Amino acid sequence: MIAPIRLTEEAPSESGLRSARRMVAAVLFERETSPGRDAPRLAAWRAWLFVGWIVVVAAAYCAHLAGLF
Amino acid sequence: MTMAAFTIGRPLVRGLRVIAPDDSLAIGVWSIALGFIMAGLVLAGLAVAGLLYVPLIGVLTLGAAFYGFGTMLFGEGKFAVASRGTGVPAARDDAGAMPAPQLQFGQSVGRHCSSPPRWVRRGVLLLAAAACAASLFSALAPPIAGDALCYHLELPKTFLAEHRINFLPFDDNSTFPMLTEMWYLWGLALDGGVAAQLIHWEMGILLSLAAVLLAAPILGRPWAWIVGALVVLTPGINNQMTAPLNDVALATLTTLALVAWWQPVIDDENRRWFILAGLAAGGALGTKYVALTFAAVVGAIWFWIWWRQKARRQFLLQGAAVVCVVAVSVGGLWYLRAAWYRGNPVFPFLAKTFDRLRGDCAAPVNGPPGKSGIHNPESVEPPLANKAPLGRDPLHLLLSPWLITLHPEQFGGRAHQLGLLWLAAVPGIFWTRRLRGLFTLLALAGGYWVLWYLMRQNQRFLYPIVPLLSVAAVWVWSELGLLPWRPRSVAIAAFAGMLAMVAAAPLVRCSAHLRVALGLQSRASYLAEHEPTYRAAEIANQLLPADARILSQDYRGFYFHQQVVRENVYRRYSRYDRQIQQPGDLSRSLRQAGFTHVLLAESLAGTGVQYDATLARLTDGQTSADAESLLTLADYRFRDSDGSERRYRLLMLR
Repeated sequence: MIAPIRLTEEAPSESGLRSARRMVAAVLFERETSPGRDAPRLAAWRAWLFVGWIVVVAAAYCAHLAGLF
Repeated sequence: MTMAAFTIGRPLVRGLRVIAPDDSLAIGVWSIALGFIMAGLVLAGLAVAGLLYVPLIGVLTLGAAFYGFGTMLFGEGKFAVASRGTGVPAARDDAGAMPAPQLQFGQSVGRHCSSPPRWVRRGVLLLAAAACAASLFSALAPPIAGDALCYHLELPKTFLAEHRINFLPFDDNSTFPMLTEMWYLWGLALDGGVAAQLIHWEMGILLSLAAVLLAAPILGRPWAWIVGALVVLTPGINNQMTAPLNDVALATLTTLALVAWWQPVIDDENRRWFILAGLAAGGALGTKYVALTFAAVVGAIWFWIWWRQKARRQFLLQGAAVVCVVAVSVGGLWYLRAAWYRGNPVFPFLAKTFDRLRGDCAAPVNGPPGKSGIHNPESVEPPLANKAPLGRDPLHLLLSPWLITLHPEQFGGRAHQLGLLWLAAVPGIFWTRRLRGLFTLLALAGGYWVLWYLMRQNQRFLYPIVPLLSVAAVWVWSELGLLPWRPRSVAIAAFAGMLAMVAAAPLVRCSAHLRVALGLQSRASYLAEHEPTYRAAEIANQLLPADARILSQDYRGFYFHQQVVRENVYRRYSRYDRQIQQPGDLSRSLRQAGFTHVLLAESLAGTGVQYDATLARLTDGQTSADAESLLTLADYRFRDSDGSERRYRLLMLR
């Protein structure tokens, strides 16, 4: 059996609000990739930034538990 | 009780024909949850009719449970799945993210994420299982949680003793939504406090499984299991599974409502899901006022979708109407009751608003006449402590995730904390790819967070969005493969350490309850060690008649067989302290108001609970004026686990 394919609505016309939202999304989020394609690796600086955040949160939490601040 | 609930809920699930017959997880979760909601309604009906008798409840429970066992043993008819869409295609979501694949409910495999490595899934599930087992041991110990002994168990105990649900004018909590308390009444009728406590533990398990159902259409079921595991590894949730409160039950029902709402609104599935959404939402509304906040945010998102998708407007509007009607039918009883007795359906909140609407501010509107001198209208609203430690400004709103993670003691206590996983992981969505559905979940969580910040900043009230945050966190984990190997290794090690830490906490905590849970220590001895009022209750139960009435400074009344009235609430309504003209008038005045005894509680050392000293001061005055008018039945000191020391005195009024 062939799985049904859903039709999408016709894309609405580009409004100012929509353009602004796309700009914000482009800055904050990675671009989407097609399902079958391997996703590109994250830039090293962004990866380390995220890891740095994790480490800071963990260190601050443990320090607070230990009564250091 | 679980089997009885399953038996009650199963026909509903079968009748709605929206869950695939081979999806045993969804069938089990929905049947048990709906069964508990229906059982709560039946018990509420019995309570209103004055038919709360243990034999009747026992016979009904056993009948349902044995019928369920029989059905399981001898089989039941299969039912066909009729999953029809509306025929109107769902639009691509606003952020232009990829749509999820066409999926059978709960059987999806996320397009973006491959299955997690087997060792990851097994490791996380093992930690969750260990944490749940540890909390089960703690839940097997007799209940000692303050709010539970104050009203979550105290009220059902009182209703059961009186065989009906009576209005208690000097108990603010007695007109709250009480679906969960009906379940606890069920547990108390069949066994006792531990059985009631186990119901809330079970709600934690149901919450975890509901989170799996929520995440499955978005992430795929392999990752969804990790979502469910993270929910029960949340320190506050795991801890609350050990006590008969209602926040975890509320989160379970809001999550189920969201699961059912998601199917027709987001995935354009069968419209009969709206009935399930309404039932779960009604259960949530019947559990706690906080459900109104959750409903407001879902309503706003619903309106947004309705506005965006013109072709589906009629479908969405009909769905909203169905959900509202069903939810109000299931959960509206408690709001009607509060409005009838208090003149305010959400008493004690918005008291001033409803006072203005009524044009007066009388205390209990339809309660018993002022035998105890109920008056003083302006004092009806209970003195709410500072409910917003962060204030209401936007800067602290932005900082609030950091602050509640690191300073949970300021937001309801460490016992209810969310832990550090969310703060560490969820910001990772800024570098992950977009996932269809995740934006909706995060918008809901964000909206709820803002309302939480504006209304009452207690971490317990954030539990309904923990499953949503868990989906985001697991999506970030599933994308860790995109990191270069060095930072990826550090991130994995850090998250593994966090998981080990949050799983270890319940294991350490349960060590204090292991002996009593395993029967190596008697419950009475355990309670004498851990519950400050237990000794006074034991003496009262031995010496006092059942119709004695105790005015108590301590709010924990569950272990007393007599009626216990909280002194601070009674004073707020009656202003009895202002009527004492002479020091020796107290005993006579209280006896005239129907009290026979007083229980005094005094903090001697430590930073624990502090009691208002009004009654203690008046009692000391009475003793100096006429020592014979008060007879001391008990006078003892209790040292709490945090080192604070209290003194309790049980006195008879003569």
